[in-house]
Amino acid sequence: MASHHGNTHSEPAKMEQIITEFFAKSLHIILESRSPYVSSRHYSGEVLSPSPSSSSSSSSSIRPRDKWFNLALRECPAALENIEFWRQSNLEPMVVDVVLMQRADEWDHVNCSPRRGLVQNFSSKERYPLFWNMDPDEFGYERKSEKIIERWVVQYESRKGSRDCGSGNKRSNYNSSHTLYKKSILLLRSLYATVRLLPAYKLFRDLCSSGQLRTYNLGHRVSSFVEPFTRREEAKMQRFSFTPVDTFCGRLCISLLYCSSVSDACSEPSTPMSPQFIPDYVGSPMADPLRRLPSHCSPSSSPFGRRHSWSYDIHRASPPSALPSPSPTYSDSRASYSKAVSHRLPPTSLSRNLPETPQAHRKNTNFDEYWPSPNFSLSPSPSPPTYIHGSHISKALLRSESAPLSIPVSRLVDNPPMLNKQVQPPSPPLKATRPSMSRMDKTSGLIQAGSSVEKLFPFAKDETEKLPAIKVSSKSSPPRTFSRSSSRLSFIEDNYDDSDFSGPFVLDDDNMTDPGSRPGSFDQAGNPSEPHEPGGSFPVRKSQDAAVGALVLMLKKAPPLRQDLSESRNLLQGSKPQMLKNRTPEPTQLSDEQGFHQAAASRTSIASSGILASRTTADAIEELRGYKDMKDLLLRQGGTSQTQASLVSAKEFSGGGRAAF
Amino acid sequence: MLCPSIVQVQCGDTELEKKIDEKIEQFIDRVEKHPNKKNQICLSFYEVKSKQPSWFTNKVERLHWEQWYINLNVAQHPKTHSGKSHHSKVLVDPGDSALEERSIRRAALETSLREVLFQIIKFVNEKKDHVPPIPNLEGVSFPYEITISRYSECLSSYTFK
Repeated sequence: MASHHGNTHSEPAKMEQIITEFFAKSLHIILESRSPYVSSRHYSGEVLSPSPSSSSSSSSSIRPRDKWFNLALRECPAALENIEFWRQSNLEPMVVDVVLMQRADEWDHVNCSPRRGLVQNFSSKERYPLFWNMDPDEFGYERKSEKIIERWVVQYESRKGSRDCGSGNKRSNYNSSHTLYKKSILLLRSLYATVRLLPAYKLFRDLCSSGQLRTYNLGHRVSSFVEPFTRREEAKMQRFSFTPVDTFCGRLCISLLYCSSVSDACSEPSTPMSPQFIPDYVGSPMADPLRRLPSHCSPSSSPFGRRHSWSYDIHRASPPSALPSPSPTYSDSRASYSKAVSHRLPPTSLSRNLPETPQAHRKNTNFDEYWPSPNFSLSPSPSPPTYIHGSHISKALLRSESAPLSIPVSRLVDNPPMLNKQVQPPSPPLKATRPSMSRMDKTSGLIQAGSSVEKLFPFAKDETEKLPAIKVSSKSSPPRTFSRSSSRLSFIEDNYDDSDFSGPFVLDDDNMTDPGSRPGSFDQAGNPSEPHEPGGSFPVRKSQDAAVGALVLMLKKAPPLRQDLSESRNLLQGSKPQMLKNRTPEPTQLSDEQGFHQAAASRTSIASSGILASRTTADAIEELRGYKDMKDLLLRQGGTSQTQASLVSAKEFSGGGRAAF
Repeated sequence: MLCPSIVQVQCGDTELEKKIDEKIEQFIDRVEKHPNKKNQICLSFYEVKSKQPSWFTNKVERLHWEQWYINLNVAQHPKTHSGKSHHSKVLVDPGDSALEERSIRRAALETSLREVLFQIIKFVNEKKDHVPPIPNLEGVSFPYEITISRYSECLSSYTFK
């Protein structure tokens, strides 16, 4: 190739040498900026762009660097290994393909390069083939995705005809080599700058700068013959050609085909795959599973598979809409969960989903549909769900507690002035709580009453338990009931201030007045009068209470007949035994109707025994009737004498009344 | 660095780098004094031609064999015209739009800069015959001169915004 002339022998040799070194240098420049494996090994922390000046050569005093073309570069074994062919013959073009390889998940130990056969004089020691930036022992070849992003073609186009090469004087030859050298310097410097302006250099820098694994890697192929690109492929690439450098026998040419959108294809700016802090790692209960809820669960079940079942359930249970901003603490998540639960499906529907829990846990589907039922606590889960469930249960329990309380509450509806229709405080037998309950009835709703009743409920239970005993005792021990009844009368006047009243009202329904005689408000109880049954039961007590109330009203409203009558009333309202005792001497004072008086006395004597026996509401009502009659009689007759006669008759009537009962 | 993706190739000469930094400072001062003026940077390569020393002249002649004229105009940020009253708003909420706009401008600048650099390389490679022999094989190959002047009509203009 090189023409050998006398004086120009050296010249062509020089030019030959320049051309050969040109090939080597161009390959060196290309591979140094495209082969990350090599570069990372020799990356000593210096600027990746080595200084071509000799001043930088002193920095790396370890080994002499190549200073050809006034461009000292770091050693590049890949270039050294691949240049031997062209050192022997620089007439063959040198094609350098820069390949972008996408990383695959599975490693496949297959022969590396399918195009190896095409490469002539390919180095047998392929230590740096198209692989990852790893040790050779560990790599495997992936044929996942390869794309030639750059194709450099360096070639020496010789001119046809030896006459052109041989001609020329010394000066031109002299000039030729120097000119060639000068122009080669400029061209290689341009190549050096161009290599770093191309998009592939960014990938190279990313691979070299960060030691983290990436999904792509750069490889290279150096060959003298390659399969040309298809038109379609070439259309996607851009061409850049350097101005050839003319030599005495030809010209040196460097051309480039490159992809301008390389960085976009595999742009992973700073998302490494290597170990890094995983913010949404779910390994402990304190992790917030609610964060991933908006993503509605990526299909990969691995993050959820790692989670506990309870956390998974909680995560599924909370709706994305109802969730507040991601709460970092688990307690917050529980709070939000409890809130969500309270506004969600009733427990009945939840129980259906419970058996689906393990399956759905694997399926990762329908997070919003699942709601832990109250039975959730039954599942073998750690404490947190029980906590949530506990809060849920407490509400349920509260409700369940309030429901049965409505029964005793309803009894007090019979007392209209004190009670509200809707709210039903406990029955009168309850001690001391009644006034408070009455207030509550006026102001609060059922729940409050229920809550307070909740407290009272055991108390009420006790009272109700006592009542049957009282019943029995009332029958067996009349004095007791009598005292109670008397005390009850006073209680009636005192507006239920006295708490000690139970037996009389409960026991005896015999003296219940007709509903018609009662005031209108009294009928709210709607209880039929069953006056003739001595043994009272709880429902009967209700009507008797109403009767008591009505009686009180009547007594209050009733105007005093006369002083005497009022006295007699007081006597009656006082201790009845005393009244009875007083009555006995009174008949002696009577006149005119002595027979009647005698009857009254006899009745009185009989009545005294009757009083001892029992004293009920019916008795009081009877007395009241008597007073009414008396009043009428007095009004008709008129006069003090008539008053006396009426007094006598009243006594007789009262005694008769007592005797009758 | 305004455009980190643009790789700056340096020749490694500390003296050259120092001189370039000085010129940059000089340019910045000039722009600050005359914000709305157009400026031009001229990079000139010459070779020293020493004349025959005579009794009267002992000058060193410079023969400029290549000159690069760079028209550099510093553009004002458009949002600064919105008024200082809204300055606080800008601080409080620079806004994603501002950042996005800045990134867009940066990307456009990178693209245009890359194109300009390619153009320079192309120019450098197209004409090599006029280049004199390299006097210095180490360091800066050719003597050069950087001058900053007012804008004037020139053959080639590369406007950086």
